[in-house]
Amino acid sequence: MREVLVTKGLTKFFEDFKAVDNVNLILYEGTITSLVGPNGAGKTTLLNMISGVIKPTKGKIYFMGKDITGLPPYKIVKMGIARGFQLPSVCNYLTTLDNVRIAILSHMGKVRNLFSPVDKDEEAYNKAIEILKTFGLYEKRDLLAQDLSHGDRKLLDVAMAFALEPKLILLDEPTSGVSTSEKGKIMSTIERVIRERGITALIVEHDMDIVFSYSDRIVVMHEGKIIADGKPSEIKSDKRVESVLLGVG
Amino acid sequence: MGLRENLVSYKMLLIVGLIILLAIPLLGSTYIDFLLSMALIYAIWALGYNFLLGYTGLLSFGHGAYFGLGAYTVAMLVTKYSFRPFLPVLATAVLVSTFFGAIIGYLCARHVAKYFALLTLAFSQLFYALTFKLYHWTGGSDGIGVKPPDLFGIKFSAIENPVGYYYFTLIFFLLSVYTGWKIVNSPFGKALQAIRDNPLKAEAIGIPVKRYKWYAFIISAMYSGLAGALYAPLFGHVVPDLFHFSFSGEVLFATLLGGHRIFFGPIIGAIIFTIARSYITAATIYWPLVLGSLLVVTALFFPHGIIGTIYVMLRRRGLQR
Repeated sequence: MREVLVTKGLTKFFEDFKAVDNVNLILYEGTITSLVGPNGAGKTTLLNMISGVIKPTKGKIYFMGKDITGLPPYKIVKMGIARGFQLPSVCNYLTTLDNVRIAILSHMGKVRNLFSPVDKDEEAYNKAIEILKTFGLYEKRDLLAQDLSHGDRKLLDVAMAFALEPKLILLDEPTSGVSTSEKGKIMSTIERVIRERGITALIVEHDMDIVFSYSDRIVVMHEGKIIADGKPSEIKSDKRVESVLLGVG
Repeated sequence: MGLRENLVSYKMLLIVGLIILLAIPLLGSTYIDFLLSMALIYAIWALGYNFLLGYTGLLSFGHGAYFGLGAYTVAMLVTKYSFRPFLPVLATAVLVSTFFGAIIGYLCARHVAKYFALLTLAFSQLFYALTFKLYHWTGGSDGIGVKPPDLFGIKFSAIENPVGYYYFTLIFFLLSVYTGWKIVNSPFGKALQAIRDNPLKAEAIGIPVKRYKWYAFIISAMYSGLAGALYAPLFGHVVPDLFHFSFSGEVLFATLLGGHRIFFGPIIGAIIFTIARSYITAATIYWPLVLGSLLVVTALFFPHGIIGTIYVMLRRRGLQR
């Protein structure tokens, strides 16, 4: 299988604290990999480095064979890596439609356009509507993002990442703060879109039942290091993982 | 009320507003022509300023600098260098403001929030100091008297031709509103709004945030320069106070008064501000106290400004139905 993302010796220090310690990770095309581990394991820091939000202290990141270490986030996005945030990150005073539409226009390279009205771009509009329908946000398209429920804001955040038509998507706890009954539904929507479009995904998630249900592969981090990496069945039977995740032993 | 009916009533309001503006000179008062010309100039300035404050979420304390550069360029060309054709003079003034806006904006847009605000203030004060220091060139604290420029062969200033100057200003005002409206509803305008709401997310969807903040700064400097350039022949005199931060505060005040969250807010705010200030200063020597109190009341009780508050109330009623 083709290697989409490769990290080599990726390390991040916050002063003396090793948030991520010598992580070597390869993601293969069209697979869903879950990143699990206790709080402070370095999962979000790893995502932040891949998406360019923070620069690594040491190590390299390659995407589709190209070195992307230290590039600014907007350039990394343009290359095909999109990300969703742990706390829903949306534009509060834009409508749900405009949130998705600006992501699409950005992806289409049209945001420099100064004078043509946003409403007249039918291609962008149709794409936005399709994404909104996929994520069940169509009915709420004219509401300002600030007026959406927490769950819908979370969905909108994820929808904006998918609107960028990425090759690789990084999702940071896409179902956190969503009611337990909704979690399964949202995750199955996300999984369906990822599979349909052949996107490679790296998903941080805490709910192990959900993780086991959709993952092709599970990577376990603890204290900045990868301590286990394998198929869900292998991870399930790994005693060491159990002790780390449950905090026993 | 449906969206379509809303749009119709919105258009009606615009047409009524336009008719009122066109009819102002019929009142036959030179003072009102002068006052409304000034109000429209402030409106152009506030409209440009709001690209930064309302649409990109950047607070500038130094937009007097670009207004002042526009005004001083006109004054110097017309009076010092006797270069009088008004349209080329205006164009030069706008270019000068835009040029300095591009340099200063590049330096400021790299910084966020309070550092951005302080830098804009510092640069504006730098121009203030320079106009005193370079007095051979700028006239120092005396400023420069502005001789009437020529428009198509006739001497053209507010004193020579108050009605003509009013309509001249009105044309530029309408052009500014039209282009401004186009920009805020374009993909570029939406990108600025995304940056305002959430810079981290804007960057995460591929918008180069620093560069777009810079573009917004340049556009706002351009409008400010146009306003300043129209101001010089109207007022007939330019002084270093145009660069002082207290003057920059006036455009902030006007913008907040009308409401920075809505397109027409700063425009109406600037018109109300100019007219109110004129009558308050005539009525009492304590006019700064009155204006200050007005600002406090606006900030505490109408954070959306006058137009913004009306809009929010209409929206709530619309949502309840």
